[in-house]
Amino acid sequence: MSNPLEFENRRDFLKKLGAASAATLAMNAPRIGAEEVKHPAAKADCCILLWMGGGMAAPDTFDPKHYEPFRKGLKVADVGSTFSAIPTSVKGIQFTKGFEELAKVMDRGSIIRSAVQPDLGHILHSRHQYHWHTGYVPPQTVAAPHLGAWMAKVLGQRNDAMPAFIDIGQRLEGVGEKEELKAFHTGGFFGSEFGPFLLPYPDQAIGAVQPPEGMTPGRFANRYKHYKKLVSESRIGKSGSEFQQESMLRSMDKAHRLLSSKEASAFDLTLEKPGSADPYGKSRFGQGCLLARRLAESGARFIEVTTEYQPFKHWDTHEKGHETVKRLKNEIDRPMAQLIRDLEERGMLERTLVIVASEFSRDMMIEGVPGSNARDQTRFKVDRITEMKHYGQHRHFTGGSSVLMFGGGVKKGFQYGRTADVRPFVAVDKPLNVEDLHATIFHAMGISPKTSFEIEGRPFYATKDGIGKPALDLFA
Amino acid sequence: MGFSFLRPYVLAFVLVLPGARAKVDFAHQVLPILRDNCVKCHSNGKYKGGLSLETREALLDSKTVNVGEADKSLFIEVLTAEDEDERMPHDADPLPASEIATLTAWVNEGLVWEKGFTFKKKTWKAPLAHRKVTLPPGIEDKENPVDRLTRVYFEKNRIKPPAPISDARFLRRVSLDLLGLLPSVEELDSFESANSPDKRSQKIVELLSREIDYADHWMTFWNDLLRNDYAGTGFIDGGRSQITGWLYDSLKTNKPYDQFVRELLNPTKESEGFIKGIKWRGNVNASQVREIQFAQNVSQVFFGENMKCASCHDSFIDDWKLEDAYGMAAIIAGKPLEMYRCDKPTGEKMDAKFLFAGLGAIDPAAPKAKRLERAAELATAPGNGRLARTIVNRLWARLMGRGLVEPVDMMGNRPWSEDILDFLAHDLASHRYDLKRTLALMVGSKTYQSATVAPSKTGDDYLFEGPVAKRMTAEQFIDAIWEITRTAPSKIDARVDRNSKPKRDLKGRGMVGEWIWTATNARPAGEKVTFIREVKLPPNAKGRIVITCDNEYLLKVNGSDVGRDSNWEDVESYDLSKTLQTGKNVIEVQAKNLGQSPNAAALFAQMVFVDQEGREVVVATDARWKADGKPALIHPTKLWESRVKPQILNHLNRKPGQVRRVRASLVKSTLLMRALGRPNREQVVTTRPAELTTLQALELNNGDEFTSYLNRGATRLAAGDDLIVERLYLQALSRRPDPGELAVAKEIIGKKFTIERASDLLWTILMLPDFQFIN
Repeated sequence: MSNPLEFENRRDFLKKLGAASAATLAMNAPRIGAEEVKHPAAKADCCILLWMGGGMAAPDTFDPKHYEPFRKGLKVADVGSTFSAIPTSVKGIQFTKGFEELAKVMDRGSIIRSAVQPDLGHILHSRHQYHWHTGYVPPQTVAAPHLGAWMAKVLGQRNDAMPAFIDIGQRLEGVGEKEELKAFHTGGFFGSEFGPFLLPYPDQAIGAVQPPEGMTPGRFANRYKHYKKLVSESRIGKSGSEFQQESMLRSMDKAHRLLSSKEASAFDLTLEKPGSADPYGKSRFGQGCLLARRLAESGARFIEVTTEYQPFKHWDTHEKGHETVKRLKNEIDRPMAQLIRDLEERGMLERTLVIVASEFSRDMMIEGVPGSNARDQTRFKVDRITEMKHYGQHRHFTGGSSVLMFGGGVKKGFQYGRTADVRPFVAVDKPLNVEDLHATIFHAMGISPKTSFEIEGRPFYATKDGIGKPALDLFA
Repeated sequence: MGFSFLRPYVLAFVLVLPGARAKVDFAHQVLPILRDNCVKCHSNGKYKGGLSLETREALLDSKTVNVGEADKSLFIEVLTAEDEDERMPHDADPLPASEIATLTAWVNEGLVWEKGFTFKKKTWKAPLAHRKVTLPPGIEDKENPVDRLTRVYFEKNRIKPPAPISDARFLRRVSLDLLGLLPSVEELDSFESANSPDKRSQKIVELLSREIDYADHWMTFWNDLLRNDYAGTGFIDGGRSQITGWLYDSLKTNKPYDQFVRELLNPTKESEGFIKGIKWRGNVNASQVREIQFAQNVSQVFFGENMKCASCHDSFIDDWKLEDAYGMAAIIAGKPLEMYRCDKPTGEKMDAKFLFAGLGAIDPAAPKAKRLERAAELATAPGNGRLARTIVNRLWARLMGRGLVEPVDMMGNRPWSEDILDFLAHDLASHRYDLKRTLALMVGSKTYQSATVAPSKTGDDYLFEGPVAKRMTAEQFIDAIWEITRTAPSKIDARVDRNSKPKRDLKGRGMVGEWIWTATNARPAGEKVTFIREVKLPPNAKGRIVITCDNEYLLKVNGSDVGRDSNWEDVESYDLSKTLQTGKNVIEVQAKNLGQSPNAAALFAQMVFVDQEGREVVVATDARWKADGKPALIHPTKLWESRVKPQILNHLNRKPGQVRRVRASLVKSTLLMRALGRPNREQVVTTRPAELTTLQALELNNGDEFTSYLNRGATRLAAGDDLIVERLYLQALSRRPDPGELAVAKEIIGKKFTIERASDLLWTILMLPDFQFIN
């Protein structure tokens, strides 16, 4: 029989099938995979990422380990945490001292204690932040889009007069590694339409959506009115324009709408009543949280607020870790907790996913993960602590870090994964890598991790190679 | 090279994941099995048993697969059939159990297929060799070859040729396209009023002869292609190097393109930045090591071939294989290169092999320098028509708004006119690879000199109906704004020699100064040295100094402060005329070494004095200078010179009053430039986005940088006369306003022309699509 497919086997084959499945076969088969991506139902419409740029040490923040108070002669190896543990509103979940306010709202969200990052040989904040924000380890052959750009592209604007993707608190000029930071604070190959609307200083945010300095709203409106008139008088206006030029006029129109819309007032922190503004404090990050809340209320899709990454500043503690983290906690604890409370009070928390994350954790002893050949970057290579500046988490650790999630369908008062109780504090239960973490975030936002767009003839996926798997346990 | 994924502790993580078996991956697992065993008999005209495996649809149509139920799928069943006649693949060994398991899982998991992928072979194959195209007869002997070919094309496709454009529109378009500049009002006027029938061709020759403007403009194009910039990832830690000076000289001298490519592939220190790629600290994905960057970038930029797929696995969008990518990579590798498939080592080593292997072999045993030399030879070999086709197509796309082949990086695609592509490519190759000749041919054609159209058909059905309007690049836009508002910055960042004539070591114009200090060993941080030189001058002498110091200087002449700076990579020049006196003059430089620890330090200065009769005297740093009272020591190293010599020469050669305009392509990217689409150049960029986005529009509505240009420009404008609107239109749009436009402009100006109104008028005109597009 030269043609087995056509004859006997097919007959046999069809006989084996029931009538129902034969009917199914004749219909269009379900389209799965890259052909047609099926998005999960969205649990949230808005995402707020509170970014702890520089490497937030889990043992000194959300994952307390053995605490040893500072004393001269203390062995570094004996210290897990430099802060004592405090209870939270959830039995069995502890934070470290300094997060008293966040501890009170732990019952509104989940904590992931097992986030892990790859060992890239030499630990660089720029590479890991690029990875965390895009899901791809640099260098890449094409410019990878930021997480927020994916949301802007796939989900679009929630409100026509509000940029979809807003980035608060990170300067791209005047700080170290600025070129590296610019590489991922972009829409990548999606283009700037989906890139971040940058607001480095929250208290000056209103300036970005107002007519230029010195121009009254009346003059601004007039300028645009004249512009429209001149366009209609011009040859393009008269002859009916070409596609690109029409699209340019549409963009001008959208920009103008934002700059003269009522939504612009959301950017103005001075309009916030003192009573509701006070809990956010005066720090740049606190003001950023307040701004994020206002923008979320006005229809932004994705908002990142950062403690601002600057080499050797803030979370990037190569020395004086304990003192620096103490100060930071003081700045960020209340605003973050207040943001959760405000969203809840306004009935928005259910449909808003709030994430607290960092590019990796830190450790007193280990650079990278156990066995890594990453170069030790601490300032003080001491076995015993003799000065306060030695006391803190001064090495970059990629084996286990904490991520907080609130709202967006995430379980309340839940812990996902855990790290070892004794050093090395690596994730020992349900390790969650960046791809899967992103898949989880996308899942909440109603985006399939397999979502892909074609660039240079190749598919490029929302999670690397489309393989990210959401941690479904996290969802209620 | 250690890959994190292989580390034992990470494996331990994997082991604790409950039931986390990854889904079957079509591209990496299924496709190779189908390709190696099945499609030979089930695709491309052979559809044995009526089964086509070309696409998912075809497979489904065969009804041999019950998606989700492998055990009810004939497609799987036949793999294990006991009867050899029935078992697939036919006349071959049965598939290994692991492959059957993969296919079974594939069917069970939904028969996932790569979007758009087909096993169907392309029927058209791009030729490699050059082809001499016989031109159709011209209407007249002189008729441009491009026009002869498009005329035939238009006739054949029944397309009405686009209308010709006016002189003014031609001038604006050709100036922006060739030099990136708007024509000046005077230039426009004299061009429009000239009567010569040849005036357009004469203009083209004139524009192309402005080598500095030309080089300035084409830096944008080539920086994008060769991922060169003046700041960015990798420069700070030596993981990347600039080719700026070399590139600029190459453009300025219109270096033959084949030589240009040879110098990039087989580089000197000045041009090695391109093939060096970017080195990140730490480990990188196997498909992004420098060797693979070489394979990808060389293939893309010079040959329009995308090796990004093949760097990881055999491509499924074209015929490139992993071996091809690694063969190219091995050319530059220091040692035999182990192949990685999808970031996993294969254990196989790959020898150096050129992309188009038919052109000739590369001796894998030869040292790296020889392999690169050979690669440069093969890339520019007479048999390699792809080199010329690729660049000709890129230039066509730049000038006409869309390529003969699209996308411009997929030169395996069929051009809409093989004749035009082959004619231009062959013409380039047979005329010393003179790119200016190709540009002149294109812009000299009626085809170029015709009205822009909106193509009625796109994609595979595209028909050429005429040129397409192009949006100005960020650099063109900002150059135009700087020109109209007179707000260009005073300094460029690119270290380039912007002298149009070859450097002459004429007295006073060449660099004669030495690098001096008190000693030539490493100097303590913070060390201060006072340098003194006395000069006797006749009455009414004028003078100028060019100076720089590693690290900091304060310059005093006869006791008065003249200037100071603390960045040795920025060279300054000052006019000394006002501080000079008859007789003895004291030139004093208080120099300081900076840094954290001892490091090299040096001062350079060169002065030119001119007496009333125009005689020049040059005084420059040398052993005659006193350093803290003792004769200065000359530093033997040329360390500083290599970085700042072009700048020094620029300063020395500048005629009094002559300042070259600062071009956006030569300064570091600003927020406004980035917003308008200047890429950060970590990756090769060959096309920029064509549309203005909302965020860009916002930047133009209220961005600080743009607003400041407007306001500064407005101050000057408001002082102008009644003809201001007309002049702005001429300057920005190369035409006069229509009466309707003039009326609106007058409304903006109102009764009293204030700075605010001038700024609003400027903004309104600069936001017109007519301005922002090259029509």
